[in-house]
Amino acid sequence: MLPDDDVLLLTPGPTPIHPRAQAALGWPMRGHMDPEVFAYNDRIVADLRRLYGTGEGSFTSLLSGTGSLGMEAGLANLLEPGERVLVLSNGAFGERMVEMAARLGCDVHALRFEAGAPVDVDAAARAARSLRPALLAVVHGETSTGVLNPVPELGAVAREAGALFSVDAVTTVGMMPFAMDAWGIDYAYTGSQKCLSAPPGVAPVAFSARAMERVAQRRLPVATWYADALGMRRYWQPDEGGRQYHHTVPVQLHWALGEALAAALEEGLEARAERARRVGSAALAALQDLGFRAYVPAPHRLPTVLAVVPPSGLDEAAVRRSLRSEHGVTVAGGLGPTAGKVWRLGLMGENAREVHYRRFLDALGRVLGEAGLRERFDEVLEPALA
Amino acid sequence: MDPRLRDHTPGPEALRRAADDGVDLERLKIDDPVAYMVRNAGTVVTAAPELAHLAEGMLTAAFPDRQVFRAEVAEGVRVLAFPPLDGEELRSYDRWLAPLVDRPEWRARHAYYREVGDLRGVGRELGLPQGPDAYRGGEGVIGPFEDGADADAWAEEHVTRPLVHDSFPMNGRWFCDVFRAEAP
Repeated sequence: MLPDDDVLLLTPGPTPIHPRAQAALGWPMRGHMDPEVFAYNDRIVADLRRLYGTGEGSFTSLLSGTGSLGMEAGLANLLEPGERVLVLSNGAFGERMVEMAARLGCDVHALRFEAGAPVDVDAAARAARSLRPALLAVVHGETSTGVLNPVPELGAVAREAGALFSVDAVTTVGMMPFAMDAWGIDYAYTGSQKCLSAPPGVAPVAFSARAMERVAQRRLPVATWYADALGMRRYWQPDEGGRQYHHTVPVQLHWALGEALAAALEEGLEARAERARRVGSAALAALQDLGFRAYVPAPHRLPTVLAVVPPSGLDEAAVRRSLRSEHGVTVAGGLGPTAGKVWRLGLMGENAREVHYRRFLDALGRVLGEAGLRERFDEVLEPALA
Repeated sequence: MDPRLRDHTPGPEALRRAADDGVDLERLKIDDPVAYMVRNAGTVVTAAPELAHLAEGMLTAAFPDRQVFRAEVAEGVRVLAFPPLDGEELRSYDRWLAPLVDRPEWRARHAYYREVGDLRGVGRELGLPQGPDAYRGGEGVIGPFEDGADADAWAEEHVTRPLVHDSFPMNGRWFCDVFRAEAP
């Protein structure tokens, strides 16, 4: 049985698929070594450089897996067993990094911050000066709490400590300007189903030239053959021996991601950031009228995930169930430190659309017996820039 | 106050040591929280220095609510947690750490992770055996040897009371566990 196509994914990933990506899923099948695939992949490589804002000598590609593979690939490529990594953690995805690095046999140090609060740059700088890690790792936008961490400032911390800098850009890149080279980032990754609104299954990643040098100088081979950057590069970038087979890439997902990526760059990253901000601000205002409040204070609020605390006394799980079963609207509850405490509303890619939030607010109003939510949204919604 | 501190009640051993040292633990909790946590931390494992990062890293990852401490001791590095892990948590920690020790780079060096009971009590050890040629006396795991007879022969020659030995196989080789049989 086909799933109901009228369900609205207002979660912080996966997001509704962009129409161009949806259409590309139906393109003809090709082999992973066919010239059309290589030509299309070359365009993806170039577009990813623009998306990430990479510098000279960078390596961009798609990993055949989700953003978690992107996370694991970075740690596995940039660290050898016993090497020191400092993870700045303020949510579930920071903790995932800690666990992955520990499983890789690294010398893991976690500097933990309160859930809902950003990473403190001064504390991070003190820890980095003292520990001198080989790698500093942080999540840019912590999806589990809706916090935006100060990545440009942390790039300076990493440089001062002589560390490589890895950034989880899963809920940021594609929905806001991202300056990998200018911010001193050596490795960044995302998942296709987040801000780019493609189907899940590929992880766009970017290595700086410095990061690739580090991989080339490793003492031991990368623990994961599948995500070995040097092996991947031989497939994605031709050398004197041409292109080499690595593994069978999911060609249909490449088509879809490539189209979603092109659409994002055509719209412009500034424009997408502005779209998320406008829709998010209006949605928050409407929800505040119902007694919801923002979980994260404005200066540190992630523009792509709106985390709101439901009013006390509201059976939040029951309301979410009703939204899904009666109105086909899916919103996410909390995750990790925010489980049972917040709702998380996606403002990534295709879910940051006025039409979707009107539908959500209409549905919520019906479930709660409150009128005027959609009108309130429209009242405070700023006009879109031309 | 950190809820881990606020809600913590010292165990009988910590209370006894505090009484011996003339330390007011409730006062210490407020005046020097780190010193309080160190006094009340529980040993998770004693690790060889080269392996201590594995023990600490996995503790940090598996129990993010714990404060992790390390202390350099004669046997290596003692890794401690505050609040201490309970029995079920220690068994869970075993399941996390054991596969790491079994990775090729450590397996090649015959790394071992085990629970031992000796005159000092029961505890966990994460170690690397000492080569027979490097042995200069004292307790430890010595090896590898080709077979049990070789291990016993080496022990006959080198291990004297109050030390005793047990020979045991691990990953196809044999080792001598040299330990003290009676209190000094």
